[in-house]
Amino acid sequence: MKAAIVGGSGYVGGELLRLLLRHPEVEVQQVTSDSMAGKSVGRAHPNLRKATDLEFVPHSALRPADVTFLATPHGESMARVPSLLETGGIVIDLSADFRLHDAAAYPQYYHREHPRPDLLSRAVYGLPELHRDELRTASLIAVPGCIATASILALRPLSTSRLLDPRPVVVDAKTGSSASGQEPGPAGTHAERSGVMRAYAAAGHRHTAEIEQEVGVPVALSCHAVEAVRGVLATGHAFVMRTVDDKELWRTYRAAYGGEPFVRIVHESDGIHREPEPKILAGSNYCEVGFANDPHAGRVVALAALDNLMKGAAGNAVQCLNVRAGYPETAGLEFLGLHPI
Amino acid sequence: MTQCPECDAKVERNDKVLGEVFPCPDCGTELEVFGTAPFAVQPAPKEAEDWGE
Repeated sequence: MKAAIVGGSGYVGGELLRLLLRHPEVEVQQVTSDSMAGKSVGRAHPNLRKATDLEFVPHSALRPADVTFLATPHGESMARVPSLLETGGIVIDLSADFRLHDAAAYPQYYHREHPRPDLLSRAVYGLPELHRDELRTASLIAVPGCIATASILALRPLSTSRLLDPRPVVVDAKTGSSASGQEPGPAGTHAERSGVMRAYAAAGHRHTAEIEQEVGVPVALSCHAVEAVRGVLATGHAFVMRTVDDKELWRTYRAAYGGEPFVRIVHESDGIHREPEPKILAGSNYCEVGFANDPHAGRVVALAALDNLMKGAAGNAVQCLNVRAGYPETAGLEFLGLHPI
Repeated sequence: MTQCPECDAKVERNDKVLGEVFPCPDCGTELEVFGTAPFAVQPAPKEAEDWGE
């Protein structure tokens, strides 16, 4: 299968390249970047030096491919997707432009009207753990946001178990600096970022919309920047209607993820790494989910950790491609991570 | 086969012997074999922190 990556000079584009260059069923035919056109991909992604002869080409030189990945900023995919769909190839969009089913949510969360609301129903939300069957025939796949992916995978087993009371689930998410992309900004300078523990979206984070869409319960999301390059840890505080015990929670999470190739249930009674932790997942496509029972407060704490560039973006996009194309779901995604790191 | 008393995970006997201590494959709890026919396990006693001092 021939693949193209649009917007390949950013961090997500670099991760897509890293994965696809070693994917047994994929050949990358083009990588576009207007700002880097004519330069080797190793110039933007030094970990890929000598791994490929590919050079960036301008967006205008993009040719039809069997699958086109869009690693472009929010708002740009809206303009590119319609013509890409006409070529007949699979389109996998890593922006937020086609994640929400409700067009009215775009002005609220993304401050713009959606120009092609007719295409929203055609897009499949790219989370194989929830939408595997729909992905098998999808022409347009909308890859979830990183914080949304962690939050959804943490909460979904609880929301479908009828354990939760009607109050919103509070989600506290921490994220590393690469989640904000490669574009420089005042919040990303070393002086501002070093040692940071900043509530950058204490309320109103735009991933709230897709979490609620996929989990089906009201969510109150607060997001924090912490001193890490990669990683998301989502901690959900879910209040339950009756007493539960660890065995029931184990059964609930096993029923949801027992056969999932990239979800590991982590809730160990002893040792250092008893609950999910993003650090050891860097570079891997795994999401670890876990839980803690708090009968004193009538609360279940639902946890999920992942690498925001992998299961939170590029790795999950490749997993979606594998499902769509009928490849082994783990193809190109076998890396287990590093420890220590 | 039996189940972990902490998390209900399926635990296979394989060649485990009476008194053997092994971790639950899901929750990591240290389990001790206290019966082989039928196969039965219980949480292994944890070492107190001052043991050996």
